[in-house]
Amino acid sequence: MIFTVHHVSFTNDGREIIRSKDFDQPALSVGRGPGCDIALPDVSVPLDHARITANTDGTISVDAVAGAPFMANGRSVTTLIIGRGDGAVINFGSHEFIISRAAEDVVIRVERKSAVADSSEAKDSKFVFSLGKVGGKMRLPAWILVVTILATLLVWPIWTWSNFHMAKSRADTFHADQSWSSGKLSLGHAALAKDCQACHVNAFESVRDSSCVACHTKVHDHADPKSLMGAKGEPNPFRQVLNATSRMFNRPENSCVDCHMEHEGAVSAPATPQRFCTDCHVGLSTRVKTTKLLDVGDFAKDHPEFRPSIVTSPGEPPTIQRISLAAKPKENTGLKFPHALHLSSTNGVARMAMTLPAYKGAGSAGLKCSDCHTASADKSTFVPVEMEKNCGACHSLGFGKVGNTVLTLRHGDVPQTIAQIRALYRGVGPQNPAGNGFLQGRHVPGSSSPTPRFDVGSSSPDAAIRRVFSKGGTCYDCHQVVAPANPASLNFTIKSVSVPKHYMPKAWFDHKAHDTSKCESCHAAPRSKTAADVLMPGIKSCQSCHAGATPEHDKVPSTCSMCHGYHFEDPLKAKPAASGSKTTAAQKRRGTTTG
Amino acid sequence: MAFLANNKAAKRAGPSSHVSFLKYADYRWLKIASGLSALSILIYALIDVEPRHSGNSWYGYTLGTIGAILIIWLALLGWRKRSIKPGQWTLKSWVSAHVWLGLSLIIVATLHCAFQFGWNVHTLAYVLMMIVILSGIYGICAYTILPKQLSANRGDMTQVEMLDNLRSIDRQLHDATQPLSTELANIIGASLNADPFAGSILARLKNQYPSCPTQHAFETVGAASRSKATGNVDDIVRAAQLLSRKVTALANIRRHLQLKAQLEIWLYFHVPVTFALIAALTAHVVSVFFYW
Repeated sequence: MIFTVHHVSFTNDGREIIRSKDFDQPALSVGRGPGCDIALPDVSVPLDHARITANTDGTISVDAVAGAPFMANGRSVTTLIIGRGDGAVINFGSHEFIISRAAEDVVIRVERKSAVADSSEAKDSKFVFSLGKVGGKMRLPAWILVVTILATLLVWPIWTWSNFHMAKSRADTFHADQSWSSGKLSLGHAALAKDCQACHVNAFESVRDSSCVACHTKVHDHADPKSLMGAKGEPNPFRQVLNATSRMFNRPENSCVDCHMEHEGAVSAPATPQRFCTDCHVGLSTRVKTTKLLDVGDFAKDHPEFRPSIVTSPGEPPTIQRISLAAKPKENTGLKFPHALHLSSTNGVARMAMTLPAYKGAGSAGLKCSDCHTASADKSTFVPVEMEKNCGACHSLGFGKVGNTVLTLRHGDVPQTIAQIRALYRGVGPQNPAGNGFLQGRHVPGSSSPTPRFDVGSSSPDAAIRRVFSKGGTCYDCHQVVAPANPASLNFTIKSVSVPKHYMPKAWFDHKAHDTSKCESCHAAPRSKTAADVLMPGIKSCQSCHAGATPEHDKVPSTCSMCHGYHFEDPLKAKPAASGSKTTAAQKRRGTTTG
Repeated sequence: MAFLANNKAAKRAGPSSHVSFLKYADYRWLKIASGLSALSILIYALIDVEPRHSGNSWYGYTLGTIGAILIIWLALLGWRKRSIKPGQWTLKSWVSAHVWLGLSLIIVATLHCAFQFGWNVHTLAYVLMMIVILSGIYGICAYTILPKQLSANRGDMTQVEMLDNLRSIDRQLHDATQPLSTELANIIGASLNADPFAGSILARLKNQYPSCPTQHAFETVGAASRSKATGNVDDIVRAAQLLSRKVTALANIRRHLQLKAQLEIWLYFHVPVTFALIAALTAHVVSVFFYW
């Protein structure tokens, strides 16, 4: 039997070169050793690897010599029998043997299948030297990131919006469009944090006023819209460009969100910037000729003197006029009340205050403002003065005594008062008035001479009634008494008392925020000898601490919104945050002084 | 006008004289980018925006528009560098503008958002942009420092020559291994069959290959060559010498790979994150106008 061995190699251009050799012998040795019949220059092949033997029965056996296996038809074996007439594919290291038959002879095709070294294999040097060889392509992570971001932060939120479009509320869980929120909502709107659709209704449309008034049902316009447009005047070219751009992006002007900005953090709704006021109110009279409003600018420089609402004539209703404090107005509330007399620390009032149980804490200083003026629950304002509670300790309405019970006239009811005096005479008569100090010897606080409150020694009740309503009488001390036209008549009446609830109903004022100051530092009460004095402080008093919008040395920056509101209606009902300061609950309910 | 004059001068000088992309045209783009940044800061400081600066003010929108246009234009460098064409806008001028305007984006975008950050799509876009810019700053440093080291390491050899050198050593090593014992042949075979460019990104960056078969072969065969017990000492010594040469050549290649890795690693952040940034920017812009 003859073995024909074809050694196959390739030129650089891929051409096949075959070198053949015949072996007329029964067996062939295979190995790396130079003495082998088929010497393989292959470091992965042992020096003496295998024997290929042609058996007499026509079969061929292949056996590993040193036990190192070889690959036969894809399997690792140490011995192989090739049947008569059959062939096989065997791999020794990097070399492939294809064994076939040619008549009685055995043909072995030997071919190296891999390069002598990894480095010898074809390599694109530009590629293998670059980081891309081990780092892979950047395209895949890039696309993963792109798809993830667009899916979670664009598609998902839009899908959420479409699901809840026009919905009244949403479940208190995470909603994808919250990822679009540019900042936390103000405290007042905090409950809407998960209800984006409450304000953002239609896509690519700015928040409309309809969303705001859905909840804020009682907010009214600042003024007639036509007047507002007139007050604004022609915007400057820059503002015109901004307005045109806003319109182009479906964001109309003059909407709530122009002033009320949101997503600015979890704080009280920020104060409206001053320019939203001054844009119109500076030089307003030149644009709106019919306006009764005065031109107003920055508080420090361009604010007119305060014009409190002054009661010039008490009644139902009273006559109230806004008069500038510069004109030194006088008020007529229907009361006679000299503040100076009551606040003196040396006169009879002071001495009396010291003797009365309710005022014993007052010490030697006499009465204090707070003895009569009681702060409201939130201390931002004062509750109205009541005669019985705040004046009654000194100005007694007592007119008789039954046992230990003091009979008192009913305050505020003239017919009842007259009836009570008549009853005193009709029923029991004057009871030993001389011995009844309670009825006889009362002094008007502050006066040095004893003045009987009732002339109960009078021969008739008529005389007693007349005394009560006449000079020196109980009512006359504090009230304006209207005597009857007929001197014989007893139809006395008392003029209405009209103490204004708010002297400045167009503004807020928080007394609590000013409680470090003494009352008299603003209100000149200790020097006021007549009730006609208007004790409201002028603008200079405020300006001593409050600057305008621009902070000044040691002064409080104060924009319009610190005292005024755009939708302002009742000064006791609402107050937005003061500019540049923390809002307190009291500020929200801030009102004017109640006298 | 002075700017145009500079432009013409730069063109006359031509791109052939080697000028760094940073210094291109006498720092033209540095000047433009500085001007843009300074102007942005100046206006930001001077204008009175109520109640405070934000992306929602007219100035915020203006800076946002400038920023978005800049980002898209900067990203187009990836397209421009693949498009080889003549014209007055050379690739170097593009890169110079890319670098300097990219840096000015830090100012423009930060003033656009007016230092307001949160867990939302808007800040995500900002953070991605900063990752891109910071990786770009690394890239600028790498391109300024590393080419010199790269050049010093490879000497006069090109990458192809380095690879050919290794191939030559491997062929000789292969031949020298033929008479050796199976044991040694297997050890050297492992070196021959090992891919010299294998290893992780980390291995390349750190230039550390702890289980290198060539190093193992060098040590084992070296030890065998010094041993008197073995028979064909000359063959083993020859193999050991070749392995020594291979270790040196491989070290050279690996240092080259390390420098190349340091030179290219930032792109693995810069490029994919740029795509992520464009996606986040799209979501940012759409969301702003969607929930206007």
